[in-house]
Amino acid sequence: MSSIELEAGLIEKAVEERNAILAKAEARAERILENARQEEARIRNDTERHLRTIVGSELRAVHDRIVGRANLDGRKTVMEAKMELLDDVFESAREKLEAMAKTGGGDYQEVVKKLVSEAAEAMGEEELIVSSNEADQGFLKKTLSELSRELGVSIKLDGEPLETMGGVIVKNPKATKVYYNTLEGRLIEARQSKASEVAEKLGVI
Amino acid sequence: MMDMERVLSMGSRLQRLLVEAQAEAEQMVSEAQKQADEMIDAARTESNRRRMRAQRGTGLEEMLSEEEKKAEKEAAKVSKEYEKQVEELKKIPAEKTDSAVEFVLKEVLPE
Repeated sequence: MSSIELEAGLIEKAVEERNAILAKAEARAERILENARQEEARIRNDTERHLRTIVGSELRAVHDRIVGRANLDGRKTVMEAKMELLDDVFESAREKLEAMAKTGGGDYQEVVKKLVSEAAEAMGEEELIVSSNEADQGFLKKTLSELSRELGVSIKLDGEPLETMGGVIVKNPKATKVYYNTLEGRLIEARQSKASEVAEKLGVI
Repeated sequence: MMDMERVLSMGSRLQRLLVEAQAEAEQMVSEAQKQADEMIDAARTESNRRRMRAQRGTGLEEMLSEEEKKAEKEAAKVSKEYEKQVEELKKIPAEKTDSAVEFVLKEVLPE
């Protein structure tokens, strides 16, 4: 082996050894720093836990106040949206009923007769006075005698027209018994008693 | 003879290189250790400061404000969930609404 080759071999070996020394040191330094970072995080977490035991109730109160309010507001918004849907349904129903009463469609006259019959049966009186809007009065005038016969009661028409979309109010002559059977009244009753079933139909329960 | 002398001189220079590398390595580790000690000391000092302040009932504003920020983030998520529900409600198909209207009409009109 020539002296040049010997030198080259020595240099290569020395450089390798130097690099190994530095790489080892670098790895060790990184390990030291990583351990320190872990220890630092542990100290911080421990402190946080310790402080939380001291002020836990205050922190919970802050959390509950803010998140609780968001829950409350959110539930209210959802509830309002559901109520709006129900309102829309009942408003559509009201419009349909109004159209039916105005045009006489959907066998409206038969509906009015049934409303009178239902009231008469519920009241159990021998004499009845029926009030309706002006449009229905015309039809009722023609059909009351037939209805009286069918129901076996004396039914008279109140000359004073009602401000109603349709349907009737039936009372006994002394007005001690009154049966409200207007379409608006029945719609309000349906709203009160059937809201949950309507919500179920809409799939919002 | 001259060659041998050159090789020996080179050997001693390389030996010095390694000694210097060793010193550099030790310096590197020592600096890391110093930095690590400082980090841990600072964390311990801060921890003690906060513990003492908390025990005196002061210095909690920071935690409360932090908790407030966290709670506000959670609240925003909660609100978003409810907003989603409201959006879903707006997508109810017309058939369902129509069927609900029919149901109401059935209830209102006498049989």
